[in-house]
Amino acid sequence: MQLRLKASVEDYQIASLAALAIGIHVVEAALPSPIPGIKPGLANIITLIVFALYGIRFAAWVSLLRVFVGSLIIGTFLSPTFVLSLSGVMASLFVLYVYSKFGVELLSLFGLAILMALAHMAAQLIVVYWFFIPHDALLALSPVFMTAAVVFGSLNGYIALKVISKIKCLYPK
Amino acid sequence: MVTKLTAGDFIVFFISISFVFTLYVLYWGEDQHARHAEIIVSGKKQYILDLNEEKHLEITGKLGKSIIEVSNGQIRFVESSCSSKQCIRSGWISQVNALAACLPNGVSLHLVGPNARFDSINF
Repeated sequence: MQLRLKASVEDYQIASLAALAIGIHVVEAALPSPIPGIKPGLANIITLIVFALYGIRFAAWVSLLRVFVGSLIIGTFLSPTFVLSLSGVMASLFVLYVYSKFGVELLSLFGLAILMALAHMAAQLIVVYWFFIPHDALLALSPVFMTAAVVFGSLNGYIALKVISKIKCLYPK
Repeated sequence: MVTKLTAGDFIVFFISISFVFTLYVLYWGEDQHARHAEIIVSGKKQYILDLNEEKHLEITGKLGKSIIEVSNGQIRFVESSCSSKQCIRSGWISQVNALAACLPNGVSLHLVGPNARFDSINF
């Protein structure tokens, strides 16, 4: 018996958006970072834009595909790096879900990005504390990590907001 | 979908900045200096030193001697019989929960603060 899987238009859309996010993620992984664990997280801009244009389901798919496929390409699949990446993304997707239900009128992508970045970083610190380094010195590092989260979250959120406002100009709905 | 910055955005931004600032105050603040150092030799707590007293101490571990110096609220390894001297390279430590260890010799210095916390260290 032959099994034929037919890809829908939606599958193609998600795949191409995910490919974009994965490309950005992998290239960014090649950039050196002064502090291990701190990255600009530019792929999250894609998550934000996808959410704004297509909604939470698409955004969740693109994000999770980015984490899994990105880790396969970089070679960190199922490593601690992957676990941290996944927990961060799950936490930020949770924030995104809450936003999609309650906060769509209150915050633009800028505020949303900051909240998602904070959730991402906090989740990673919690996971590191529980599973890898149960030492108080980790708490002493948290100000630095959270600063990075706020800085890069604002930056990415601002970029996503600008992109969306330009796109909405072209295709007002 | 809102395409311009809203009041909510500014609120979120300022709350997150104050949150991060609070973290700096909490964890990088002054009351992080330890009062006592525990010296653990081969797994057993052998000495508890007050960091306010100047002291030179000679500890005998698995490999040989390690010399510890306490001065000015800080503690460090001065000399040790190990080959890599990583313990000496840790330098002065003074923060709560800070740690310097000579693993080959089985000697480690743990700084303890006013709130007793139990750490589990395996090596």
